Amino acid sequence: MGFSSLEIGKRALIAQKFGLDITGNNIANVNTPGYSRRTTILAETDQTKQSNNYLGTGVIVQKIQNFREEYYDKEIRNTLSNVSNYDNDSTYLSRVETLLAEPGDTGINEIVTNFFNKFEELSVKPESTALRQNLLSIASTLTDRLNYTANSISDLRDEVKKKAISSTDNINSLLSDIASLNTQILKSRNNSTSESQSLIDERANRLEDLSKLMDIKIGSNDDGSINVFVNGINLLTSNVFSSVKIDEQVNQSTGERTLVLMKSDGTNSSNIELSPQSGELYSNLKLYNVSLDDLDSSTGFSIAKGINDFAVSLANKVNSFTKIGYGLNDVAGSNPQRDFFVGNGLTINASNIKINPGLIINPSDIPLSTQVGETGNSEIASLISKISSDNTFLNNQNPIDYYTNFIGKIGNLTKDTLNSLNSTKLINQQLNSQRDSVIGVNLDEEAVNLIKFQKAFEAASRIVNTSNDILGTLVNLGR
Amino acid sequence: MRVTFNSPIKPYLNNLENIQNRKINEEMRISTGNRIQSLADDPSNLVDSKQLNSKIEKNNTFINNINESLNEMKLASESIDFFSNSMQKIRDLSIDSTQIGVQGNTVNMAVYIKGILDDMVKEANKDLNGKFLFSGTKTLANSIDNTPPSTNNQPYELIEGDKTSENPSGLQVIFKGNNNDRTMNKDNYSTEVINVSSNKLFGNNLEALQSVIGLYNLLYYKSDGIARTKDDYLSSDDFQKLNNYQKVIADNVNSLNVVNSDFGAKINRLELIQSQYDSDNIRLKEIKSIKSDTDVAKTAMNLKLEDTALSYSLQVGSNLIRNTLFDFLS
Repeated sequence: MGFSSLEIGKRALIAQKFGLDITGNNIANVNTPGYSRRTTILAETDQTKQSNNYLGTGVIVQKIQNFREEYYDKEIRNTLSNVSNYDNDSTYLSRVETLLAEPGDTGINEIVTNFFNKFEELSVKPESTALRQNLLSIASTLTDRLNYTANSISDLRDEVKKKAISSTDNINSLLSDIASLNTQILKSRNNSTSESQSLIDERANRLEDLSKLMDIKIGSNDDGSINVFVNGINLLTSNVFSSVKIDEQVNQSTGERTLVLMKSDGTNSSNIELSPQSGELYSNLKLYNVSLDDLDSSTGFSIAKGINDFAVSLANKVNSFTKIGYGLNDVAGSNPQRDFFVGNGLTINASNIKINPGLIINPSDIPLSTQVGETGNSEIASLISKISSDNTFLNNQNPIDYYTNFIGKIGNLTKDTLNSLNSTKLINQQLNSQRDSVIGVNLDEEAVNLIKFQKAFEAASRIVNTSNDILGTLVNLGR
Repeated sequence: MRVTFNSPIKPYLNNLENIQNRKINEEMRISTGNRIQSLADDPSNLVDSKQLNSKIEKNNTFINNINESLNEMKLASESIDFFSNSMQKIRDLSIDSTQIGVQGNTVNMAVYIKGILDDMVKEANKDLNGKFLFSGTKTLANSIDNTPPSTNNQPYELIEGDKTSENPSGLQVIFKGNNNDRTMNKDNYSTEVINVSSNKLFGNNLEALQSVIGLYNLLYYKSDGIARTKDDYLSSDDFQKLNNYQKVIADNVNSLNVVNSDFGAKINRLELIQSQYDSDNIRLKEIKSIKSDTDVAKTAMNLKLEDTALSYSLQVGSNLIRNTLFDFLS
C-alpha cells in the first residue's frame, strides 16, 4: 500500500481547481472586447503497472485551448478598414453639406439666383439707387457665403491633415505594441506548453485598431509571431518594425499640396511611399489630396475646386461686362473699366472674392450702361442677368445648372458612401456575430463547467479524505 | 450557431439605433414639410427641385419687371393721349383760325396755341420717380446736357432764341435726350421696347412741335415780323402756310394715334405674358412640391410604423438580458 491514491487526489484537486480558475476567468471577461474564451484540456497521467495490471495515476492539465479563428479575424480586419474609411468619408461629407447650407432655401444656389435676378430687375430700372443698394447687399451675401464656404473647407482640410499626422503616430505606436507583443508571445511559447492567449487576444485587438487606420495584410510565422504588410510593402517582421510618416509634397508649378504616407527607416533615401487602399488614414489622405483640395489636379471630384471654379468663373464673367460699362455719374472720357468683383492682389478665388469697395461707397458707379451719360441704358445689366442662362459659364453648363449638379454630385457621393458604410457595417456585424459565436463566452456553459469542476473538486477532496482514513486505519493496526 | 451572452446585444443596439434614426427622419419630414432632409436622401430630385426653384424665382423677376414696365408704359400712354388731344386741339384751332383770319384778331388764337405748346413740353418732361419717360436712355436729370441755349436739366425745353424773319418769336423747342430704345427682357431670349422715342412722338427734329411754333408765328406776327393787331387779316400766302402747318399737325395726330395704338397692343401683350408666367409658376410649384415636399399621409404612416417598431423594440430590450443557469442555482 503506497500513497498513490493521495497523489491521484492531489492531481485531481489541482486540475479541477485549474478548470475552476479558467471558468472563472471566462465569466469575468464575458464583456471584454476581443476576449476569446478558453477551456481546460485535461489528460490522464501515465499509467503504472501494479499486480500485473495497469493502473491510472490521475489527471493533469494538458493545455488551455482557445477558440480564435484566423479566418474571422482576417475578414473582420478587412471590413473594419472599409467601415472606418466610409465612416470618415460620410462624416466629412455631412459636414460639407452643413457648410453649404444644403438642402435648404438659403444655399449658394438661391443666393446666385437672387443675384442674377437683381441684375434683371436693374435692366428695367438702372437708375434706381435702391435697387443698386439691394444688388450690393445680395452680392455681399454671395461673396460672404463663398468666402465662408471656401475658408471652412480649407479649415476642414487642415483638420484632416492634423488627423492624418495623428494617425501616423497611432500607427507607429500600434506597430511598436505589436512588435513587443510578438516578442512576448515568443517568450511565452518558450516557457510553457502554449503561448499566452491573453497576449494573442491583445495582439488581435491591436491589429484591428491598426486596420481601422489602414488596410493591412498579415503573414504568420511558425514561431507564432506575425508580419504586417501595407499594399505589399512590409512594415513589421516579428519584432522589427518600420515607422511611417506623412510627407507634404508641393507641386512647384501649380502650388498644389498633397500628403503622402511614407515608410521611414530613419534616412530619406530609404523612404518608400505606402499606398493604403482603405481605412481612416486612406480616407483622410483622399480628402486632403482630392475632395478638399481647391487646386486639385487629379481626375477625382474635388468639392473645394468645384466651389473655387464657380467663384472664379462668376467673377470673370461679371467683370468682363462691367469693365466695358459706365455708371450713372460717369462723364465722357476714358472708360473707368470697373470690376464688380475683386480679390486679394491679382487673383480672385472663392476665399477672397469680394465686391469692388468703390462700388460699395458709390452704388451709382455700378456700370450698367454701355454708353457714357445714358442713365437709362441697362444693356450691361441685361447681359449680366443673361449669364444665369449662359451654357458656356462652366463645364458647358449655366451657373444654376452647374451648381445644382455640383450639389447633386455631393449628394450622390454621400449616398454611395452611406450605402457602402451600411453594407460594410452589416457585414462586419455579421462577421463579429459569427466570430462571437465561436470565441464568445456563454454563461450557461460556464455555469455548467463551474458545477462540473466544483463537483469534481469536491470528489477529489473525498479521495484525499478517504485515502487519509485508509492510511490512518493502517497506521493504527498494530496498536 | 452557438449563442453567447453578447450575441443578441450588439445586433439589438444597432437595430434600435436604426429605428430611432428612421423615426427622427420621419418626424423631421413632418415638421419641416421637406421630404429631402439631406443631400443623400434623393440627389436627383433635389437637383430638379433646386432648378425648378431658380426657374420660379426667375419667372417672379420677369413678372415684377413686367409690372414695373407696365406702370411706366401706362403712364406714358396717358401722356401720348394728352399729346394727341393737344395736337388735335391745335389742329382744330388752326382750322378755326382760317375763319378768324378772314375777320382778323388771330393773336389771341396764337397765345392760346402757345399755351397748349407749353403744356405739351411740360408733359413731355413727365417723369416716374425722377425717370423721364420720353428722353430715350437719358433718363435722369444729370444725364441731360444743360449747356446754352438750354437753361435746365429737363429733356424738352421751350426757349426764346434769336428772332429772325423766319421765326419772329424766336421760340424753339429743344430736345436734350436721345432717341434710343429702352428694352426689357420678356424672357431669357427676347426683349420688348418699353419707351417711345422723341422722333416717334413729334417727328424727326421735333417737326410737329416746330410746326406748332410756325403756326404760332403765323398767327401772331405779320410777314414783316411785327405783331398783328386785331385789324390784320391773313394774306393768301399766310393761308398757304396755314394749310401746310395744318397738314403736318394732322399727320402728327395720326402718327400719335398709331403710336398709342401700338403701345396699347404692347401693354396687352405684356399683360398676357405676365399671366402666362403666373400660370407657369403654379405648374412649376406643383412639380417642385411633388419632387421635394413631404407626402404627409405616407410620412405619417411611416412615422406610425417606426413608432410601433420602436415601442416593441424597447419592450424586447427590457427582456434582452435573459436568465442564465446561474439564476436557477441555489
